[in-house]
Amino acid sequence: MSDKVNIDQIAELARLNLKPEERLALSKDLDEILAYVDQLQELNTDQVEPTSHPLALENVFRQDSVAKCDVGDRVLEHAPKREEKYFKVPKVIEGQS
Amino acid sequence: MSQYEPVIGLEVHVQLKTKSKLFCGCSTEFGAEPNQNTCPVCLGLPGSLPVLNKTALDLAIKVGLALESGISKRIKFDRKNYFYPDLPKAYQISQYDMPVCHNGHLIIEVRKNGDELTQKKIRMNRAHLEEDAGKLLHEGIQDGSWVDYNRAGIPLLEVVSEPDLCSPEEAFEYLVRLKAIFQYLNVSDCNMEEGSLRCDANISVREKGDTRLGTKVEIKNMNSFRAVQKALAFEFERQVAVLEKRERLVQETRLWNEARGETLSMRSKEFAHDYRYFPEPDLVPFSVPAAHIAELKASLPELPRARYERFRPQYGLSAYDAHVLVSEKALADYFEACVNKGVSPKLASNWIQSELLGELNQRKLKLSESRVTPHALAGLIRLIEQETISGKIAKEVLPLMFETGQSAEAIVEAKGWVQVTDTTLLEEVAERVIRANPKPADDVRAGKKQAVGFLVGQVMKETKGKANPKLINEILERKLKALR
Repeated sequence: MSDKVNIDQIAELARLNLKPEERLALSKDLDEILAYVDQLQELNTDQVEPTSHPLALENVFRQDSVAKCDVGDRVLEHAPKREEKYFKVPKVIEGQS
Repeated sequence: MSQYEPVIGLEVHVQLKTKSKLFCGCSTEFGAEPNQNTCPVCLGLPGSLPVLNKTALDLAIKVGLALESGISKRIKFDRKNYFYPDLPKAYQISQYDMPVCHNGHLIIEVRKNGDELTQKKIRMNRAHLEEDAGKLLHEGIQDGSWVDYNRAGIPLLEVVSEPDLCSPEEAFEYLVRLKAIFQYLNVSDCNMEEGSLRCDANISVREKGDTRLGTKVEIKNMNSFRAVQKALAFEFERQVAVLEKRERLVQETRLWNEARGETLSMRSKEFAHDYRYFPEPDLVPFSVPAAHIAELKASLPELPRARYERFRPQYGLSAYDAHVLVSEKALADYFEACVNKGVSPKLASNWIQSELLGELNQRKLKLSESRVTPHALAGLIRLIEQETISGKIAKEVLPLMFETGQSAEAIVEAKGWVQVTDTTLLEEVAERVIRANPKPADDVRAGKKQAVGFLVGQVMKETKGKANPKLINEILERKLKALR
């Protein structure tokens, strides 16, 4: 088992229930990914601007105007649970889970 | 207790006044039917893409400029990941390392040694744009919670201060000043009941003189500025008590319970706050041209501090009065509209702060809902200045102005409250009062000046409060000498 990756913590944050064999396989995958990143880290990037987006685009805006969509009711119809005009979810009060 | 001091930083979320949401065209209108102001983008449906609302970015930059902060050359959005049903996407689009604004400050007034006001600079670490979450309803709902996503995606600006606040009172003062700036800029409705202004607080304590920071606790769930102040005062005492017992404080989030007047631990799990930020791939980065920033800067209105600096010399107001008036834009506007009608600024300031606000408070009205306009109040003040009525009568006229919507002149006329300045009539009354009260009259003649107050009171009573007090004094003085 990897010493770099705490697979149980990652699974908990992602709300995943992993089977033992999945746990091993994913652990191995993540180790390989990290090893690849380590390799990238060796490159000198002092002269390279950081990139946060693959496209050479910036400043894509929309103007502030309302466009009515009217999908609310149709989305509600597809919700697993609903009551009146609300989506219904299991009771979750932050801090009491 | 006195050897400890609190170290406080505030995170203020202000809802920006846009017509549409931050990343989609849904309406931001408050009070719509649940889940009707929604679309595939703010409901997080697959295949939908967010696009930034230009006005929201402009409003955020305006706030930054008003707080004298830097505007980042490169602006980027990030995903803040957490699982909670108020977020349909399981992440919130926020900003991590390239916020819109950084390193600003706000000047507040603090009281040092008694009454003297001194200025203190509170540094702002950053202000960033993010989308609001939906609203969860728990109460009275069987086996579950209801979710309304109308609020999801509404633009928020989070203003994060440095831990420069040293008392709950300073925190309150900071919030008042910050809200005033939002109001002057007209970037938000600042309505705490509708949630358009929210505040979380971070507080730690340390021994006075220590420069290291203690263990930080975050407090949430305060729904007014006073609640923030109370929660901080409670938390300071709680933390000091823990330290005095030689116990360790836990870094945690606590909820303010207004009814119980205390903070309660949320018992969060250890990993609960690993948000795993990463760049939002659905949005391109932004950079604001210097010319556009200059344009926004030129569009800024007069801000509270500048108005305060102008009010003091222009209207001859005390520091305190000028502060109270500029702290709310509507109040300062009302004052100026009133003074522009040609009445004394000092009288206008007094009447607005004590009588007008008192009446509004009693009637649970906001200044904007006042039936008594600045023009109408100036009319009342002018009657006092012209000595048509006394200040005492004026205090009876104001409630009637609220009830009837009539002008002060009309009410005074109809009630026959015009001050009696008829010397002959007042002389008759004065003579009667002196004859009926020989003992106080003799006291005055013997040099007991205070006794004259009783005689003035009697004249007032006979004239039903309408006599001009200055005239009564003169006439009484004359008559007391004449009638021996």
